[in-house]
Amino acid sequence: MRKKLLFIFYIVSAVFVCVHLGLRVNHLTQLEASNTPLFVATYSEHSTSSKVPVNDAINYKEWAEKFEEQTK
Amino acid sequence: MYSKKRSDFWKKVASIVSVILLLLAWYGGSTRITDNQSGMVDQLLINGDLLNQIDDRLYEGRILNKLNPVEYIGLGSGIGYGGMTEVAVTVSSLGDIQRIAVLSSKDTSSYLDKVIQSNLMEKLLGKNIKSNFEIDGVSGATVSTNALTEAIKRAADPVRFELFGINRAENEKPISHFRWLDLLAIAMFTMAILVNKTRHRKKSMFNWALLLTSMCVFGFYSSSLFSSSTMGILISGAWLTGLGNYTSIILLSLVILYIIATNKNVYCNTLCPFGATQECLAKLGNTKTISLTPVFFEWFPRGLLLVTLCLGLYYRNPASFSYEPFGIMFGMIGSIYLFVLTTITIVTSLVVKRPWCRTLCPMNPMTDFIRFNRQWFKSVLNKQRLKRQIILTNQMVGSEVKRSEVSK
Amino acid sequence: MFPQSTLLDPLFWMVLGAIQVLVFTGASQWAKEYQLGMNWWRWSVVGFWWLSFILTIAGAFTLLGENEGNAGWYVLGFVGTLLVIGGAAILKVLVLLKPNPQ
Repeated sequence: MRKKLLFIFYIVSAVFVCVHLGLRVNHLTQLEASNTPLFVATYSEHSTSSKVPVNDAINYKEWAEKFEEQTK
Repeated sequence: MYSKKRSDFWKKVASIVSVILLLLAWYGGSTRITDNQSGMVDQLLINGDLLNQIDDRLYEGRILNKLNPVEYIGLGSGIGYGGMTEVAVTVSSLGDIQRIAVLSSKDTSSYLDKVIQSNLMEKLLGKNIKSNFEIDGVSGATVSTNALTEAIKRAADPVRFELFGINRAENEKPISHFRWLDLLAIAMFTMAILVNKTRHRKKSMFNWALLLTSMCVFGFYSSSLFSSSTMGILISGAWLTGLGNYTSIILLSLVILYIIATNKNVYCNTLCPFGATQECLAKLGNTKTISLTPVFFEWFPRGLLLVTLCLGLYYRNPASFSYEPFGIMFGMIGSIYLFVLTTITIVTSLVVKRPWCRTLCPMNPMTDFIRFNRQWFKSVLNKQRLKRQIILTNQMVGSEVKRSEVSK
Repeated sequence: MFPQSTLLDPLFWMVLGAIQVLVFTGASQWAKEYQLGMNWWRWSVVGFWWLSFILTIAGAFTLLGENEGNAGWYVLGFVGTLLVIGGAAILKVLVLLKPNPQ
């Protein structure tokens, strides 16, 4: 019984390991072919993590003025 | 007798073929176009239209009809788990960080993903490079965080010098990555040798103490046990340019040297953290030691390790190719497939003793390979020694015969 | 578990409920067969363990049904495994504390 269990464990583990390695190969191959960076973080003026103050009130006023002009 | 000779013959063939395949993988990797950096830098311009290279680590972005550059792109690298992490930083003409890009990394992708998801790089966006910036670490991925942090700082260096004429303080040397865990690894390995040699009546207790200490320190605390990726890092020579963590490489090297010297493996039964976990679980359940006898089950892990090492050499990224459950078990980091593998290994450990060690652990193929070649080398040396002895004996006998004839 | 299906979803939960009945009716027979000498605090410990196990399975499959695939599998794998180990530990303790046959 335990021998059967070990056999099943072996087969299942082997399958998962092979799938995992296959996906790693696929991932690295695609990465190379795409020639793009792994990750890019870009600064945005409206990001709360920036040190530039976010002037939402002014933007809203401009939007409101534009809206009024459009609806006239 | 005949079947043993035949088996030895095939093992010799397999041993030679393995080395050839590893060399071919290494060569294949070197012919691949690996340096994609200059192609990627083009994509990192924000406001500039033209990219000019100033030196190998510094580019400038210009707009047509404008005298001065609008931005700079600096390249830098940091030492990670499996090798170098390359980063590019786009900085405005005032010195504010506009963009950070990870160009390449030799770390296991799960660790890198964890660092990226912690928004480490986003916290730096908008900061000015004139002053030094410090970055918080990410627990559970310290080596990868340090590599990324160092790479970003080094990428900012040439831009800082170009804009403000300031040089940052000395770059960290690879030797600064050595830490107390490395000394502890050497000390515990020495203790493992002593425990294995001793005939003290409390030998079993000492063994358990070492196993549990190793499980806690090298397992849960630092997750610095070695794996197939460490073997790949060792044979690829990636450690020569510096590593973020030397503990696993030191342990692996000591194990290999000890097997070569004495033909014994003290790691698996006395130091392996995952083995210790399985032993603890075995104590809970009524487990028995079971082996699978068919030849396939002996050769499959060998083929698996060979393929893994070849892939690591070919892609020049050994840290990406590991298949053990250690990362999940001790760091909760890894793919969903390794997560399932870890779960079923733990559950099976309650019923069968050390199922991972009996099936797919790469330590067995590595140990078998070293032991077999050691024995082969010794037998070749012995044969040569024997031949020389026979020649010497024949010469002595010949000279004795001549002397007796002359005296007659 | 199967929110999109009007047949499979109730069937799944009915099966889970049926298992409860089998376990509850069989547990005391099972304990008597193995002569575990169960008393109130042992039944409390076992009951608490079983409740945690069932809640984990129900929770994990609810997450799967809510299209939170990764979360469901991780709950099942992580918490489920810990509970299986806990169950093995409780069984070991119960066997060790088995009263001597008179």
